[in-house]
Amino acid sequence: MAQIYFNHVKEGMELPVLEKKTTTRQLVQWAGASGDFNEIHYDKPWAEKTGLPGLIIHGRLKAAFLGQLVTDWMGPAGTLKKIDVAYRGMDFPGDTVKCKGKVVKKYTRGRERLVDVEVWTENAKGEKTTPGTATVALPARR
Amino acid sequence: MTENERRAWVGRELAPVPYKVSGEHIKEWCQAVGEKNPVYFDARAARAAGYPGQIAPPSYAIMLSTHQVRSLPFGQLLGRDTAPPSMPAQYGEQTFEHHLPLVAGETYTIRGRIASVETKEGRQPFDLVAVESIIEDRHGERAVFSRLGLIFRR
Repeated sequence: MAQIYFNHVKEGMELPVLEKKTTTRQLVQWAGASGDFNEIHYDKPWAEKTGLPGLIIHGRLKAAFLGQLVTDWMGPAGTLKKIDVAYRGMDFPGDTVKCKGKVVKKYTRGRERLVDVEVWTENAKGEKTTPGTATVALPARR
Repeated sequence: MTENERRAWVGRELAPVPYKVSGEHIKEWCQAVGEKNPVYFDARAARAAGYPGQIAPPSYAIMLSTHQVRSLPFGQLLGRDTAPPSMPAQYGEQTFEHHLPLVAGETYTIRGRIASVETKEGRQPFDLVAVESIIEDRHGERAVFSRLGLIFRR
């Protein structure tokens, strides 16, 4: 995996987009792995009965996608210090969830070189369904 | 719920819960997410990268936080039924601070507290319960701090 260094990071820089082509099968796999057996993620008639337009993707799976977006970008010598996300909008299996990020601030605190990144999942309409922020520590320079 | 009942819950410490992180489960979880990094799958690759053994991705910490949350008496807390039992709540938001990676084979202790209980009015009224957890390793070192905002529709 490629390494990114603090001196190469610029505010406003975008992270490489992580695209997740989701399927109902993946949601079932996630349900098993996470222990979240809420029917709205795999039983379509059930989901519709509760008033949803169809099956929806687990919010915590989208949070895991955003975690992967950041850890893949920061490289092996980077450290994810903090990440928060809010579940604002629904995404549906069959959709491609685009995980995106943008550097909003770079700064040092003590000996740490830190970068704040805005992250979000985006649906086909370009709406941010899971916005969040992350802070990573990066190695100084090559 | 009355203001006094709500106040009685805020700040309440939850009984510490142990959680053993399984290397096989990390793999299953990573396969479901689509993670590819070998440090999450293979102890040798993880040691070569400077870790004590196979590690979990940071997002895996949600497994430990929700493990404790699932056992909470939310029906009692909110003074009403919260069926179905598979869905204690919807997740509204979450924050994770990572201090140490979670390592396969290690047993962690989850210490939680009810940080706040709020009643939100509006078109779709709901209660918002925030649970804060500290995940410690066997030496008592803090590995993760988490805060989960759980939504209970009324």
